[in-house]
Amino acid sequence: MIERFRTSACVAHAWLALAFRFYIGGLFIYASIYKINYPAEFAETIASYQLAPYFLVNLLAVVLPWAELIAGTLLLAGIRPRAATAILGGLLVLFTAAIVWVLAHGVPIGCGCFHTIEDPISWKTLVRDLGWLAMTGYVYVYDRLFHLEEQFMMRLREL
Amino acid sequence: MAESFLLTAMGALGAVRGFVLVVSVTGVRRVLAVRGFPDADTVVLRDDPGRILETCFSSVTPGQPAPPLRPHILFAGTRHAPECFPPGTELLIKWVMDDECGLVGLSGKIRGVYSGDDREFVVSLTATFQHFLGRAFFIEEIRRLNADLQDGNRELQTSLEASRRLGGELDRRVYQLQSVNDTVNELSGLLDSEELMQRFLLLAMGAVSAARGYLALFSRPGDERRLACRGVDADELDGVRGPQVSRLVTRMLFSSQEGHGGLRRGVADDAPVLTQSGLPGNMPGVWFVVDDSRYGLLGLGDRLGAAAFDHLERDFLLTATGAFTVFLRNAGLYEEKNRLIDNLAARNREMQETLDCLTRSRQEVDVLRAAKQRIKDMVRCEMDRVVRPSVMDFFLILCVSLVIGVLFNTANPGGVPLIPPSWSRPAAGAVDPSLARARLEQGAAILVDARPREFFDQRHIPGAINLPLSLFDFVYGMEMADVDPAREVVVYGGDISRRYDDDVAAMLMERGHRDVKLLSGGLSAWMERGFPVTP
Repeated sequence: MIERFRTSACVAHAWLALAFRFYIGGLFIYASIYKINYPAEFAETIASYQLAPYFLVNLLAVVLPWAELIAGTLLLAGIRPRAATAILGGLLVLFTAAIVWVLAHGVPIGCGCFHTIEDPISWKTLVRDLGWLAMTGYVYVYDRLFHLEEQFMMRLREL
Repeated sequence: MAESFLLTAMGALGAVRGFVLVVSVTGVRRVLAVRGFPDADTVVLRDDPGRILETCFSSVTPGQPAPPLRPHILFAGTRHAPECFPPGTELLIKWVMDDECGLVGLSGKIRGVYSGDDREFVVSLTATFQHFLGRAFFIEEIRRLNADLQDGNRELQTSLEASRRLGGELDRRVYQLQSVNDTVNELSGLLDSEELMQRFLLLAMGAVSAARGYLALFSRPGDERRLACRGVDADELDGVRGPQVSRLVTRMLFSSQEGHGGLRRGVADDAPVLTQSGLPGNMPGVWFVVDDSRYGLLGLGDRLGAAAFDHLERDFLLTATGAFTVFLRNAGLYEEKNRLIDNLAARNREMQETLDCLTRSRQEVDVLRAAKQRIKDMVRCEMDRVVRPSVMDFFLILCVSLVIGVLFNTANPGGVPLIPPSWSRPAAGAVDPSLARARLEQGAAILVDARPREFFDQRHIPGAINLPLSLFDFVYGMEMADVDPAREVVVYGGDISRRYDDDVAAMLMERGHRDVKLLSGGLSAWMERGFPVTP
C-alpha cells in the first residue's frame, strides 16, 4: 500500500512538474519576445533598477531576452531541461533579488518583466516571482516526462 | 559213457528198460541216456529237470554247494516210483557229487525181481559210473577250460596287437598334443598380430613338415589384406583377393562339417577349389574365421610326405588354428585396447587443451564481463552526468544567447549600442556642488535634472529643470528654448546604470550651449553636503 502510494505520488509529482515546466517555459518565451524586439526599452528597464553598471546595461538588454527564449524553448522541448531550469531559476533569483532591492529602496519603477509600461513593483510582484521560483525548483526536482533528449538516452539505457 | 554204463547195468541185471539222468544243481540237464522207455514216458526227464530236483533232491538248494551223497537206492519195487519217472521203473538210485545230481532208473528184470546182490551190484556199478562220470566231467571241464584259454590267448593276442597300434597312435597323439601345447605356449605370449602370424606359420610348417607356407588374413570393411610368407614369394599371392577368399570361406563354412560344428575353421585341400579362388592349388591348408570381420587362410606346400593330411595332422592344424584365432583375437583386442588407450590419451590431451582454452576463455569472459560492467557503469555515469546540468550547458546557452543577441541587435533597426556613447566623446566639465550652489543662488547658472520623471518626482534639487533623455526634445522646447546658450548649465542625474547627466550634457552642447558642466558627485554628493532637496 505504502509502495503504491509512493508510486502514485511520484507519478503525480511528475505530471505536476510537467505542467509547471510548460508554464514556466511558455512564460519566459512570451516574456522574451517583446524584449527582443525592443532592446532599448528593456535597457531602460534594466537601468532603472540601478544595479548593473552602465557599460553592461545594453549588453544585458540584448543577451538576457535571448537567454530567456533559448532556455524557455529548451525547457518546453525537454532538451537539457535541468540546465534550462537552472538558468531560468537563476534569472528568477536575479529578478527577485532586484525586486527586493527595489522594494527596499523604494525605487518608483515598474517591473518591466513583459512590457515597458507596467504597474510599479509591489509585494505582489515579489510573491509572483517567488511563486515562479518555487515552480522552477519543483520542475528541477520532479520533472522527468516527455524529454526529447530521452529518445536518445532511453536507447542507451537499454544497453 | 552213460550209454555204456546203462547197457552194462541192464545186461548184467537183465533189466528190460532203464535210464541215466545227471542234472546240475542249477536245474540244467547234463546227461540223459534212455533205453527201452518210450519217448512219451521220458518227457519229464528231458524237459523238466527242475521237477526231478524238487522230487528227489529236496535238500539241494540252487546256487549253493550241495553236500556229497554217495550212490544209494532211492526206492525199489513197482509201487514206489513217483509220477515224474517213466512208468515201470522199479529200481532208482541217486547220488550227489560236485554239484551234480544223478539218477539211475531200471525197470523190472526179465525174470524175477531184484535181489539184494542185484541191488549192491547196481550201487557198486553206479559208484563206479559216478567215479568215471566225475573224471569225464573233469576232463570235459579241462577241455573246456583249455578251449577257453586258447580263446583267451587269441583275444589277448588281438588285444596286444590293438594295444600296440593304440600305443603308436597314442605316441603320435601325444606328439600332436605336445606340438599343440608348444604352439599354444609359443603363441600365448605374443600380442603383435604380425609376429603372431609369422610364428604360427612357422610352427604349422614345422608340424606338418612343409617347406613353404603362407598365411593370409583379410578384413571385410575394406578388404584389407595382411600376409605372412615362408618360402613363398609374395608376388605369387598378388592375385589373392579378399572377396574370392571370402566366398571360399563362406562356402566352406556352410558346407563342411567343421563349419557346421561351430568351429569356424576347416581344412581346405581341394586343389580345384583353391585354384578357383586364386589360391595356389598345390598348397592345401586351413581356412579360418577370426571374428565377424576377419577371416583367413593358411596354406602349406612342399611337404616331405607329399601326401594328404592324415587325421592327426588335420586335428593338429584345426586345433592349432583354433588357438591361433583365439590369440589373434586377443592380439586384436590388445591392439584395439592400445589404440583406444592412445585415442583416450589423445582425447585427454585435447580435453586438457580444451580445458585450458576454456579456462583462458573464462578468464577472457571475466575480463570482458568486468569491462562490460565498467563500460555500463561508465555509460550510466555518463548518462547521469549528461542528465545533470553542467557548466558547459550554462556556458553554451549563454554563449548562444550572446551571439544570437548581438547578431540580432546588429540587424535590428531598433538595436542599442553595446559600447556606451560617452566613451567616444569628450567629457564635459565638472563643477563642485558648493560652487554649483553658489552659482545657482547667484542666478548665474541653470540646474538640469537628467533623470527620468519618476526619479525626479521622488527627489530633486530645488529649482532644477527635469530634462529626461527620452523626452529631451519635447521638454527642451518647453523649458529651455529661451535660455541663453552662453549661460552656464549644470547637469546632474547620473547613477551606476545610466550616465543621464553626461548624455543630456552632450545633447545640450549639440544645441549650442557652450558652458555645460556636470555636478560633481551628482545628487548624492549634493545631499551629503547637506544641501536642500525636494521634497
